[in-house]
Amino acid sequence: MTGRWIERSPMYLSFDIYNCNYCGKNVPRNVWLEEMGGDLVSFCSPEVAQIYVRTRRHPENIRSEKAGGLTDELREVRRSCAALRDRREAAESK
Amino acid sequence: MTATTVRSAGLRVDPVTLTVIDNYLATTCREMGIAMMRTAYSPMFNESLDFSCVMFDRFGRMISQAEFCPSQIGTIKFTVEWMIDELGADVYKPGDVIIMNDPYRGSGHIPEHTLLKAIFYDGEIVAFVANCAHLAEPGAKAPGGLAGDATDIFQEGLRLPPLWLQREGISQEDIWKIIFANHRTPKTTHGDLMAMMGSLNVAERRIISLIDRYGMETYRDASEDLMTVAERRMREEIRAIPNGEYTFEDVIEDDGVSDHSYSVRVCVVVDDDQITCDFTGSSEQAKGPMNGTFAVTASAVYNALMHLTDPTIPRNEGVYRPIHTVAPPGTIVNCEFPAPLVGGNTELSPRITDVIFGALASAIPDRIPASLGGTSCCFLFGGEHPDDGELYSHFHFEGIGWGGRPHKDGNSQVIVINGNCRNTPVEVFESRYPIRVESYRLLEDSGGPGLNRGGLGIERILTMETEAITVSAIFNRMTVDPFGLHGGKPGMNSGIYVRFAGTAEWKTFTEAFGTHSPSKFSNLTLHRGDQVKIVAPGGGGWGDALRRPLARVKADLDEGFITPAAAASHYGVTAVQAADGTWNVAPVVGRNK
Repeated sequence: MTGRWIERSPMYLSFDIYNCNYCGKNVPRNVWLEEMGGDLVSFCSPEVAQIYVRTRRHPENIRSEKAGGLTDELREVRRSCAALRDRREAAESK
Repeated sequence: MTATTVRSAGLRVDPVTLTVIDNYLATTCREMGIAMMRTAYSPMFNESLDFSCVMFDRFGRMISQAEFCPSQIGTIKFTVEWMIDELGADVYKPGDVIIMNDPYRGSGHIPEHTLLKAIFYDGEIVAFVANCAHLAEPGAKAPGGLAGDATDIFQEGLRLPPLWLQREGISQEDIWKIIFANHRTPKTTHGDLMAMMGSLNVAERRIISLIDRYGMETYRDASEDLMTVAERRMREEIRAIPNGEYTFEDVIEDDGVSDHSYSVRVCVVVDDDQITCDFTGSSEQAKGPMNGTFAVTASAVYNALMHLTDPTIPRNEGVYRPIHTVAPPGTIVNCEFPAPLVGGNTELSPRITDVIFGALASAIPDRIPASLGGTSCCFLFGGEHPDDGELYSHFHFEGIGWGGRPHKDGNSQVIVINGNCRNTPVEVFESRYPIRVESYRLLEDSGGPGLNRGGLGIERILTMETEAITVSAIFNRMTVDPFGLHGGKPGMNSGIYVRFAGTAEWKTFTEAFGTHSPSKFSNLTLHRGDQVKIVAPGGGGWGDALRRPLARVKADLDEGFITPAAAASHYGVTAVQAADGTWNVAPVVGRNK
């Protein structure tokens, strides 16, 4: 990686939370900045930036859902989620 | 699990010395805990053991822990990192003690306070020692702190950024005064925080003694080596899980202030010797206090994976290195300031563990249990004690049924997976607070039926013994069942009910008081003779109940764990009671014997 650490000032009168662009972790003071496609992207560490690069190069590897991965239990949980959602929407429509 | 015989390359300390130092550090963490248990004022410490003690190297990397509260051990990694980072590593002096409880800086929720001390040897920092403990009273809108209907963090208690509680051995009275002025029970808070400080002193003496004995170089080398060993062994464990993506989803059923339910969705990506738990697709952050911070979510991820891997791996920074969490900001798994979140650490955390178990059920079916009851059954109360007129408050949590396992039934009445705590014994409960425990029993048929049955939940009935007690609650699994696996049936739901003095009917708190949620509310007043019934959920069953051996069904009947009706409907067994009270059983036609 070719990025660099930058140091933020400690919070005092405001409480600004800074999240890593990949994992979402709250970063206390030191942020890792990486240049990507002309933009500076911030991370909580160079290791996490590496994971970001690796997974973005192979987007099919993450955040997709294989139909074959659906177990009976997951289908059952999905059904209860959907039932709750329906109930909520019905209540809201009233 | 993988048998490990290969020694990590490049270690500097011989295996015997390394093992001695590893055990010394873990034993010191245990000793810190014993010091806290014996000297604290609150039953939260000396009975429930709702605290954790951990050690870090001079860079803030965890080098040891012991068998404490998993959610705290996971979050304290982030808390200490933040405390050191925000203040700077160069500000500490011998005798300094720093306090912090801010969830938006890494703490699990406001009641959990972390104390941190730098340990010096020959004038330089050689370690940081820390403990994290749940104070029974954090100065929130509700006694005990867990307001089930909070709508922002400011209703959840006094939020402390990293502050010096002690500078160079001198107590910082200004800080103590602010804390005492905001807590309902300042004497208890004082006793508990002093117990935490004493525990840090125990660790300080032990680390100095260790370096005296082995020398600085061996101590530092051993710290590095232990992290190297832990990382290598955890990577071996992950490599034994088939590569792939595994998804699962479950629900937080409501947030106490709206009718929304919230999905907790995970995609577990196993990539050779690394694992990523990606929560992208989970619901937006909740309006009520069911949110988790990144630290809570990551801590629950660690907890799940520690349950599924070799427990003999040294527990330190190295073990976490191959485990990654992705939790998008603004969602229920990584809420944004100033969202309320006090229930995330008690309720969302076990749900995260469950979804990771659910996701990996197809990858490593021989290791994954069905869902546990999945709620801490938080029941908070407080008021003015009739004996001495002083204010009191307490956080009572309840054991639940755990999920049936591939080779065993689930455990009954064990504190939730993120807690590893104990509940308060009846005798202590009744002697400290004006509440009588009317009854307390395992609840028949609450464990999900299965080849391996889910553990049983419990029923507890409490009677108020003073004119006014303020109560609050955060429960889950009241409408969404603890799921079974591989054909096992769900466990029984939770519940919390009230029966007013002189009446016969149990009502939900929504029916009795008009609360928005029957399971999450705060600051309701009960009076002498009123009763509360707590129902803790059972665990889900594992495998087809019709394959459960007859002898085990009979044993369950004899013990009163299941009823004859459940034996017939779920297990395909008819039961006739003998004169001595035991049961004679026979399979219905077609049922496997």
